[in-house]
Amino acid sequence: MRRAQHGDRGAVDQLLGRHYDRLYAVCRRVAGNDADAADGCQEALLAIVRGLPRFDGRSSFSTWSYRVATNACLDEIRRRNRRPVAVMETPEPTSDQPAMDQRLTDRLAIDEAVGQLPEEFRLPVVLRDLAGLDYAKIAETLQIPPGTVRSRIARGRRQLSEILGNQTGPDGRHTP
Amino acid sequence: MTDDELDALASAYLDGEATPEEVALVERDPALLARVEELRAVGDLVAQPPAGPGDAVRAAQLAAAMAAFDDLGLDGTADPATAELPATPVADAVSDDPDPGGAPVVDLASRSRKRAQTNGAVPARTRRMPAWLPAAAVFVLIGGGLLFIAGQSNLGGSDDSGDETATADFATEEAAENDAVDSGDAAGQAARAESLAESAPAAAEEEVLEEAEAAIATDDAMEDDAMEEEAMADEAAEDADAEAQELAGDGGDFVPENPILLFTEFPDLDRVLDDIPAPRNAETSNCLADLEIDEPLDPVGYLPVEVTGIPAELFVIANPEDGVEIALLLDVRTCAPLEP
Repeated sequence: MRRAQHGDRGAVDQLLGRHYDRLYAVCRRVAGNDADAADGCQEALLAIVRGLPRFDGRSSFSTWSYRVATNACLDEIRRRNRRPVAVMETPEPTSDQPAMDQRLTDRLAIDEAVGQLPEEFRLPVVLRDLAGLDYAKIAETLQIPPGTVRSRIARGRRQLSEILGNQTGPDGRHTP
Repeated sequence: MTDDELDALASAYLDGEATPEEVALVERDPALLARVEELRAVGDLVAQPPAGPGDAVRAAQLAAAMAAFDDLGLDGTADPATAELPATPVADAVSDDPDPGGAPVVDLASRSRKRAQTNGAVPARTRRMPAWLPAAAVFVLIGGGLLFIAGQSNLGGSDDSGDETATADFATEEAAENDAVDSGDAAGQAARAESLAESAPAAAEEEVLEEAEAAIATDDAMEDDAMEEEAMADEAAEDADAEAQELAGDGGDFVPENPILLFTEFPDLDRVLDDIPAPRNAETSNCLADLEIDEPLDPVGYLPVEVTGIPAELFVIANPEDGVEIALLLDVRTCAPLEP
């Protein structure tokens, strides 16, 4: 990290490569679709590179980069809010499809369920469950009080549970 | 306890964020433990990483980021982007930022340079007066002036121009209050206190409004001419209010953008163009609609600021043809350009 901050190109390359997947995952969950996630992730990477010299290490690089990514993706989806967005349909699984397809279906259903959450609930839930930030860091990232983080995560999870519960199969198992 | 409170308790327990008393409460209640397990299942699903973008996209994005790093020209000892800058309010605000992750740091000059390179046009660093700039500036000044007059006349009667701020402040406070009630703990009370503390800038705004009202009282001659402009201003204020309400309804609690930068003197806009730390989403702007002058004008940056106590919005606009940028400072209440 220190070498990257001091202009070591290899260190920057390594740092970005190591964190790319997690940053993209956060962007994907925040943005709700691949196109906005890719654009937001790209903006986040550029912002991180340009902000590196001023990063003072008071928070961890992960926390800082998640915050940058979250803001970049929010900017991206708000910029596109006025445009029509293609809705990804969840494919209906057929009985002869193998387990791999089931996993794909699960993943798409989770995507859709998370995408249905209002932004105010989606962001703290994603930062908690996907990025693994604690409430204090989420509060810092989203610039809201920790008490609000707590209630929004709970309400977001409750809504997710209800959305996914509506897709419960006949055996009672969630089929997200 | 309400369902929301029980969920908050179970959720906090699940995340290891519950107090010892709350932990004890959860662990002796089987129903709460069942709720914890239900939320855990949901959390586990969200924790599954979504599909990646593919190796090609990944490689291209990392390459673009490294190209941006190369553009910085870091020599391993200093950050030339800040080292060469004189001390300005903007630079101070950046360097004093306790956490550089407070907002995405996007170098507008580099962005426009990138766009210019894409278009094969002149890089923005070689900033020159574009052909369209005088016309745009005149249009902005005239339009802004009319709105300023209308805004002043509005202040003498029913003050619609402050509705968006008032609505937004109310939404924020209400949300904080709700959260305080929901959580029912000290953290919730802290949220409310923080929200109230954040409303302090409203006092400064009120002072400015009072000054404007006093000015109007001594200038009755403008009343007759302002009728038509007042109607326009009412319409603009209604639009802004509707947008704020839409955001409040859509996102649950629309949080007004507090001033990001405080200028104690009128800023050198040309320098601001180079230093602007965090372009913000213009969706929350009060003056964006008034800024829509012509299609080629592309707002690439927006930042709530305060200039000598006046709440303002700083827009950075780029001409997509050559990437040349200009900065505009608009008074948020009237959307009129601020003059030094």
